[in-house]
Amino acid sequence: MQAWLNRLMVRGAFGAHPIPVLVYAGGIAIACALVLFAIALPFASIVTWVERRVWARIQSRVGPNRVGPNGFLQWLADGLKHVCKEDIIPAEADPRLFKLAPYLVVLAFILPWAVMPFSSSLILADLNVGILYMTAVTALTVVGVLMAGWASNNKWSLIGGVRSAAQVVSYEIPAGLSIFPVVLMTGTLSMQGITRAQGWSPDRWFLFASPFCFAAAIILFVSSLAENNRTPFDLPEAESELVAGFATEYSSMRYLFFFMAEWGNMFVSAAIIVTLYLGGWRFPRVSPSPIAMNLLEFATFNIKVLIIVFVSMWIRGTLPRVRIDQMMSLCWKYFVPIAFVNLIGTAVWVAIWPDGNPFAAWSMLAIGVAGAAFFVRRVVHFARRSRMELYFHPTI
Amino acid sequence: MGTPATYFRHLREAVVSIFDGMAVSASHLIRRPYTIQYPDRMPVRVQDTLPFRYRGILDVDLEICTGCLACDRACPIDCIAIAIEKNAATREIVISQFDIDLAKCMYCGLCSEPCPTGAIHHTTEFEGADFSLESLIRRFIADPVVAYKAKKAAEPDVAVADLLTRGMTYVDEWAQPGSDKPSAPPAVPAATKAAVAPVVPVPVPGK
Repeated sequence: MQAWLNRLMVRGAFGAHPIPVLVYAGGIAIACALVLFAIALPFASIVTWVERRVWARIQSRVGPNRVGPNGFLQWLADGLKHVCKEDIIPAEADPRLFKLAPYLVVLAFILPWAVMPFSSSLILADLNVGILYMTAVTALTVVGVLMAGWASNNKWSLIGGVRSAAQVVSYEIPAGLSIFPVVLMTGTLSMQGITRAQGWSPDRWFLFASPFCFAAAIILFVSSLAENNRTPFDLPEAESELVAGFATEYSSMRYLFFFMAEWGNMFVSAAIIVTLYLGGWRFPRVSPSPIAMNLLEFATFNIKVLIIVFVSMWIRGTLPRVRIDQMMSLCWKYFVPIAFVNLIGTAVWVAIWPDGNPFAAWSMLAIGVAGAAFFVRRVVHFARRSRMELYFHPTI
Repeated sequence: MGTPATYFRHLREAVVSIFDGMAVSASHLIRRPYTIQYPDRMPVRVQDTLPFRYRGILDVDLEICTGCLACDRACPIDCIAIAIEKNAATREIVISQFDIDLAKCMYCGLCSEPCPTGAIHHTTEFEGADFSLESLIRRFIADPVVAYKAKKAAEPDVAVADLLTRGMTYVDEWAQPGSDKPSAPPAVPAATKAAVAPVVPVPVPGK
């Protein structure tokens, strides 16, 4: 009996004070629920409002500003509206698959949060195959989307689902190949291990470690846009051709699930990029208190993620949708070869400078800063040329 | 894919054009939005920004209406209903009804052209939505009023003189196409302004 009870104790992390496995599992479940309800779901909802405001400003509009202060509660109104609508299942649809598909998509959005490295301590499970797990479970989306497309028994849904499958499967390759350079440099797949291999200062981020890493980070970012069906790769739900793609026949809460997952996946893919290339939660050690440090790290991580999410909104407001042949040619003719070059280049780089090359890092950083400065100059140029009144207030 | 040169040219073009495109959209992020948040979040009412000749909802200045029925005859769809009575002894015209059915009105402006005093004129008001057709009939007269008669001398009543000035500007500009700007407010007092607005109403035709 005692032995059986002992087997139920979890020793691992708690050393001398083992706790019953049910308590441990319960604690994990509560922690998961807290992360989901405190971060994942609010993020996926509120980001819709942020995104609409950002597009609006890019298009010289105002955007939703009526529900709550500056329209902040728009996401709540939209959510309530969707919940109140009738849940329609077409007569000719395959009802079981039709009902199952949204859950798979949401599952693919929720599972990656298990290995999301928010701070040095705040991570649900620091798997030793963390980044591999992340790419594996996010690819589940394609199952749900394809299932939705098939089960709807609608030509637009089916074309949308097949396009999405083709797109996600294609872009998994450059995305995966762009993760490997970091794995080569750190020798670990664990999210925390990769984060700890970088420093808080940009010169010790993997983004600037070598030209190959920089290119890999760009490819990873663009591929993650494609995997999330984001503009300019939103062919699976191209309104002008496919009504709403795989979501055409969906309504009510099920429709909401698809879009919650789509917007939530922005956070997930941005978190992958931040962890791999932008130093993750790393923050200079300014306080001896672990709680204060964890809070600072948590803030650092989230701010970096939100910046990447903002860039993806900004791209959505800028670029038109590509054709399907252009999308495929971008992937197979450009990204896959360049990603292979990056991989081999990084391997050679690591063989020559196993501990990194500070000179190269600082040069890359300098080039990056110069590029950013040139970009700001271009922005000022275009703003001046328009002879419009400048308006820096983020809201109106 | 073509030659390697084409390949790298495509890469360069993609990078350069996306770089510039992002700069253009970023410059829009720091511009003031064009949106006019009609109707409730406006610095000024839209009605006040419209030009003087805007053909909005019709209005009648009964103080200067001569009861000549010119507008009634000009209206192509008979949306104006006027009832007048002539007092033979005092040679006055009493207007007992002046209705304009805005549901029928097509805002053509033909009624305000022949008006001798500019009494019937378009305003810049355009928000006419209502819940019933009947409420769209504007009834300008509750109790019968005596129609305006042109004075030989300057108009003594300041308020009426102002209305006349405005009305005659309105009528005058029909005759002069191109002068579609509101006249600058005259610096002279309104009472001495009658000379500027020579009120010569056409004789009321007998029935």
